[in-house]
Amino acid sequence: MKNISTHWSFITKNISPSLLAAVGVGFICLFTLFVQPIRGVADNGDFFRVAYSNGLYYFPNYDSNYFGYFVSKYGILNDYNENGTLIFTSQSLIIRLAILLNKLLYSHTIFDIRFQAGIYVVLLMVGVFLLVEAVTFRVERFKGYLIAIIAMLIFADSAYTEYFNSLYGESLMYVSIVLIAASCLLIYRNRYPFWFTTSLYYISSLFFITSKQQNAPLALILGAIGLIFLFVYKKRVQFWLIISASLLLSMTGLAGFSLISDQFKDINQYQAMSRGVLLHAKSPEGALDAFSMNRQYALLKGTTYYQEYTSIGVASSSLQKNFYTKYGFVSIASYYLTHMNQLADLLNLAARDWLQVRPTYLGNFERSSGYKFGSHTSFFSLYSYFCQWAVPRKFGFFVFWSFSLLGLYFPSFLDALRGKRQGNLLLRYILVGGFLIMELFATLTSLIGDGDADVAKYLFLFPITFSCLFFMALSDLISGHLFRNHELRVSMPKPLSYPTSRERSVGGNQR
Amino acid sequence: MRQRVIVFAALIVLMLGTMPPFVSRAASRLTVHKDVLILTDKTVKTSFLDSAVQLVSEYALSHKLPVRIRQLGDFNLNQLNQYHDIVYIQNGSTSVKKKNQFYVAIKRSSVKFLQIGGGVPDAFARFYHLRLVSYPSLTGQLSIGHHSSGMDITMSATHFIQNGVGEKTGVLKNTGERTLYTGIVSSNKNFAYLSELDDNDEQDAVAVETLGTWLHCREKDDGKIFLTLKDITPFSDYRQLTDIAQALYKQGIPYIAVVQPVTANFNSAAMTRYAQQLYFLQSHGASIIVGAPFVYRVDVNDHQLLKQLMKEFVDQLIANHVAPLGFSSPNYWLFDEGYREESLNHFHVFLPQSNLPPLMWRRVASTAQPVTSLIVTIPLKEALTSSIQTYYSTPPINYGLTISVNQLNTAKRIESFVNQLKNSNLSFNDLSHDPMSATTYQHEIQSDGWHVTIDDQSVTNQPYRHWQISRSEQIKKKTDGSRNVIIVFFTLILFVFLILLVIGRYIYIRKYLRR
Repeated sequence: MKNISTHWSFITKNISPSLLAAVGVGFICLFTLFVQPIRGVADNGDFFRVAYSNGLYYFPNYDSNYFGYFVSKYGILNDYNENGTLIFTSQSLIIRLAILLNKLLYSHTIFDIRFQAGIYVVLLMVGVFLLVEAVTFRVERFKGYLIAIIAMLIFADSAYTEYFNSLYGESLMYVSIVLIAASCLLIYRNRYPFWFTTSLYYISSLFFITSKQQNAPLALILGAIGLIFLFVYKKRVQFWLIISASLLLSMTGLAGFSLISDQFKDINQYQAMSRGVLLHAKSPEGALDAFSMNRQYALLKGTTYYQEYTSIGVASSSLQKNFYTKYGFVSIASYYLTHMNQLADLLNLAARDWLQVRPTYLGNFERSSGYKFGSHTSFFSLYSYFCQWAVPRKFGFFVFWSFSLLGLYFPSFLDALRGKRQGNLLLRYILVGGFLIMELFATLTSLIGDGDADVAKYLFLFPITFSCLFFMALSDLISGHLFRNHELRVSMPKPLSYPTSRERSVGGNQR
Repeated sequence: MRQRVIVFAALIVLMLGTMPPFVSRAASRLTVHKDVLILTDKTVKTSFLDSAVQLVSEYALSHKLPVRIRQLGDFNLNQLNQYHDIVYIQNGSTSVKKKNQFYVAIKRSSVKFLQIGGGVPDAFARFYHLRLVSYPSLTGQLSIGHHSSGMDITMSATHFIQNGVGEKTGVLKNTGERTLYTGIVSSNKNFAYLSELDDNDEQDAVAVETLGTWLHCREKDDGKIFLTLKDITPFSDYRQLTDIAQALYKQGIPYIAVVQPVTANFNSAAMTRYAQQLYFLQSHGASIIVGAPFVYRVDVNDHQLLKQLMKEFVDQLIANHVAPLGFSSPNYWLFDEGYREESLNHFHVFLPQSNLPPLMWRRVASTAQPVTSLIVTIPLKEALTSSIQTYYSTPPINYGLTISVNQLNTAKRIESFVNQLKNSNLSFNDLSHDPMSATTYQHEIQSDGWHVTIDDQSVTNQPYRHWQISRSEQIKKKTDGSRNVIIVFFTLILFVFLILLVIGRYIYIRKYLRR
């Protein structure tokens, strides 16, 4: 008995819950992404822009893998890359770093995508470490370990991590949202110094909004959340740094928005009509009348911009002249305002795919693995399967979820408002509200701007912010801080020292 | 007895000698001709962006000759003798060593050889009695047979024939009274040379003449001229299409309508309207040819999606009594097994269009088998404004003179277009008049002398239905339901009113009259 107690003491002293969670996530990712059969996500045709912009090229017969098999090896262009930059994304920085590592350690001609996965895994481990640290700091050890295990189940789920073995921007979105949540909660707990937590927040936000062009408008929300830091850090230098960083973030978002290419605009506009307005209209021709458009365009109902075969080119001058010029984001938004039933149908349709993280039409294995074309992995997918099984696929659930969360955290928010010099404590509620607004904003802009096309991929933001909030709520429930705030850490951190359950019962709890 | 045998043998020899030449040529072609091999400097996939490759392949295929295309750099010269007709198109750079080896191998072999563009080694030129001369460009009058341009044209070819032994297929009289040639075929037809093809249709005509003479095909076919309207899509302006059709119908000008297929929502009202509009065109002199859908991306695992879509579209056309007589797609589809299997092979007539980048290959094949009937497409404007317009009045191959309906978007333009056709020397043929029989996606389509049948049911005898009439019928159907409600409503009111009237009268009588 004494031995068990000694071992437990040794473990609690040397392995913190955050370390356990980070190492656990790394270990699971090792099996998911690096050990045969390795998992990834097959190309749906989007990789081209990212790959060729960063000096990678496809090997022969690559085409036969589209949608069904993911490819782990790419050629490295060692001569002049005539493709130039086809897309502006922060993802390029990660890919270039991965290529550099690949050249140093593996080959100058063949790129193994696992080098990229390695970088993302390290970033995720850091993110999970900080997130778990924020929610388990000064929490009873046993409860801390329980939270660490939950973190492993949620954040190492292969439905999320398999994106690391692909060239989709979702990998970077995932990692940066975890880091954003972690940095906000660390500020809320007054853990780690100003420069570290705020830098982490702004850099992660910058990576997030530039990871995909559709994230650019969310820069305004992230910039606004950043402004709440002003209630926490009150020195003059800190004030100006926060103001400048938030402004820079918002400006980058706007710049990113303006850099969206004409082709992307066309894609979104086309699908906003074909997969949005026309899709659920009782009379597609009547809907076209509302836009004063040729009724024959009802033939585009349900089609996507990427359709393999079409009557005329989606970028043809005929469509440019008679179709794209006839409507825009504003006219579609006002159409939905007058056709709320149709919007409700679309929102419910989006809700159907909200937690469908793993696209059903994209395979997870390599051709050499022997798996069938388009096969999916079930390895370490308990959390994603649970979400799909348990979470109702209706927009009403989102409303319920939002009000529940805001209601649960409201007492602690009120408490923070009443408290003096405790600006940190506001931040948890702001983070919850910010993430919920981001979910709603992303859903609405995606539906109005792009219809339901690729909704599962475009709404990837929903499951990752949902997971962060779900994890936060669950850990606060376990640690008993759902209705009350955590205690503030006033002084600078010392080497980690966690109270054991015994110490806590004696008087470790400082509240 | 011996004398009888000698006389009999002499008679047979005499008979064979006096037989029409095309019989012996046809017979010899069947036994001797293999694929026409096109060698290019570019890779096979990109060679199709070269107009010469397109022209040679279309010409050979329209004469039922299979075509194979290979890159010279990858070609094994030991295989030369496996081919009878070899066309080398200089459209890029191949290593000098390989080129020299190639010319030596050609000289040693017994193959028939045609080169298009570029220079040839001196020894090779001497061997074939050919002298080439280089100019950046030349201006002069070009004659093709008895057709002359009659006016100066500028040739941007860089190699011209100064002298050579054989039949000159293109004669360029330079403004300085200097005579050069743009095409030549040796007397034994074993060797031919053609200056580079540039953007003028005159040199294209020289190329067709050269190919005809070199391949012995020239007098085989009498070509026909077809007027072709393209860019007819489900989203076109139907009023404008109606105006064009009526204007052409009034002037008795038959035409081919290349119509873009619908690829989704086949059972919608919009599809029906489109099919009815096509029926209107068909009943006003149009022969319907289905255009290739636009290919945005290629997915090799799409489970014959193209075939399914084309079949659905054809089914819809046939349900509306529209007979698709042929198919039109970019030329490179001829060399792609995927496209051939799923679309092209299901039609009788094929109209190749120009290859515009990017080429969306599915299963590239180096060989193309002949299609049943091929119509070479050229822009109508070129034919109408050509200095050798007379050439197109009796062409050696079938030509589809093409114009986009988008260019005829005003009443004035339509009128001017029809007048231009009327005043030209061209006489347009009706495709549906040509005998044909094809199984198009399980439907038997036959035509002969303007009588078109689909699955043994005559199309031309179908009652004429104007789409507007049909549309008004649809509106009528829609309003029928609401009318019934109103009728029932009024009947009920009338009924209630009658009852109230009877009751009122009864009360009135009881109250006043009984007193």
